Amino acid sequence: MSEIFDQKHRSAPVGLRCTVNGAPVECEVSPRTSLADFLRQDLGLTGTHQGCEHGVCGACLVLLGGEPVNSCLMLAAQAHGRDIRTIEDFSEPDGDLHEIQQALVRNHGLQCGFCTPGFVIRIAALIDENPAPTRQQVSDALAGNICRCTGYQGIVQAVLDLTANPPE
Amino acid sequence: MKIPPVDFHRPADVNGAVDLLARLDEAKVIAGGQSLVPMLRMRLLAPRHLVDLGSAKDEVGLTVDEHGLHVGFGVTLAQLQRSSEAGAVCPLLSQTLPFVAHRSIRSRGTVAGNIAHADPTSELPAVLSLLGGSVVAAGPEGERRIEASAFFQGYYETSLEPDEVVTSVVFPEVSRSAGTAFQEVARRHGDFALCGAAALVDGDRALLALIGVDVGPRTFELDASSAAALESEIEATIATLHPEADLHASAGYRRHLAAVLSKRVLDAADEVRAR
Repeated sequence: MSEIFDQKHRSAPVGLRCTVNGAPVECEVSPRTSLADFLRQDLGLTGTHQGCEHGVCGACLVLLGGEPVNSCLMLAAQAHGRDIRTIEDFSEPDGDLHEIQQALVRNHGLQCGFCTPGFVIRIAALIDENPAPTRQQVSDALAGNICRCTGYQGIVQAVLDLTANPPE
Repeated sequence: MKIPPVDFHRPADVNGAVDLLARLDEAKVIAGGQSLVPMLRMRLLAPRHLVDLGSAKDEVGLTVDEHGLHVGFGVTLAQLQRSSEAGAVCPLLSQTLPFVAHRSIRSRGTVAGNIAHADPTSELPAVLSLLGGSVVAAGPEGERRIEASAFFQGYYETSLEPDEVVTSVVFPEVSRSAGTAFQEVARRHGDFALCGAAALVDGDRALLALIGVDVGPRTFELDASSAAALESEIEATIATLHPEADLHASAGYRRHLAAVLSKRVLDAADEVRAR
């Protein structure tokens, strides 16, 4: 294992071309850089949060080609040629909140807000795939996101509030 | 924690990947990376080279022929779940995929990677074993087909050689007369299963696959000619299991889950068949 600290082994940078929130990005990244770190540190898009850094908490979700992905579980180098959308694309600075964000506010679906960007991304992808989820489907869909403040009921209610939920 | 220092390679195709694996010391294939990246972050692995299959241009996607459903190396778990063709050829896949990790993991995780990773609590290895499917691997000497029964060797261990790449996974078509079902128990939906069971019932024949009770998926053929016969066979089967205990479940609780889930999936599969 000591060989992994071999200084001669340099992790040669690799080229990365992708689109982030509609804008083309072209640069070099270290293969060690996660997509989450790349977005936050190289692009300054700090709305993507990192909780667990191993795919359990969902705070770092972004949309990759329209699908929700954990940006901590993806290397920036793997995003080559892909289209990424982060929480920053959901509302303008000082502009109106996105309807998902408004629904979370209305339903007490957030308190400290650390997990909220991940939930907004997850909810956007859920509504895209299933415009009329049941309460159970919402709970299952949100199982990959952890919130330590709300107890989830407000978040689930916000999704049901936004969607034409069928009677159970 | 950042992943350990590593060089990143983007081969143009599978042959390029095989060539890199043969040439480089301590190289590891990365597909979706949903299991590999956490393992790298936790320093469970520290390869010197990552060979990225995401750039390989010869990805074939999903195809169906007389052998069944062929799932190419780049197909993600979410793509397989969305495919109505896959669901028609092999309904057990549609029944199982909602249990495979969370939606966001399924966006990136590949079917071939899931099979090659061979986690003992992983769902698809059980489905592949139950259906008698196979894995197609490319190596320096060309392609070979490996039956599921010869592929899974133990905890995260397969018969894949270090310079081989899984190019596709083949799920045989399920007979129209058969019913199938999958269920599992996990701490929260999408987490690693404490125990899971898949079943196929076709006439007097019942197949059962269990996960979380051994070093890999276990499959059993049971006599389903009568309810009494099936019940006693389930009981006898569970008695042979020696699951490990860990933080999340004792051995006894896992054996209890195996018994309960076995009955549930066999009943559910039988109901599907009767419809």
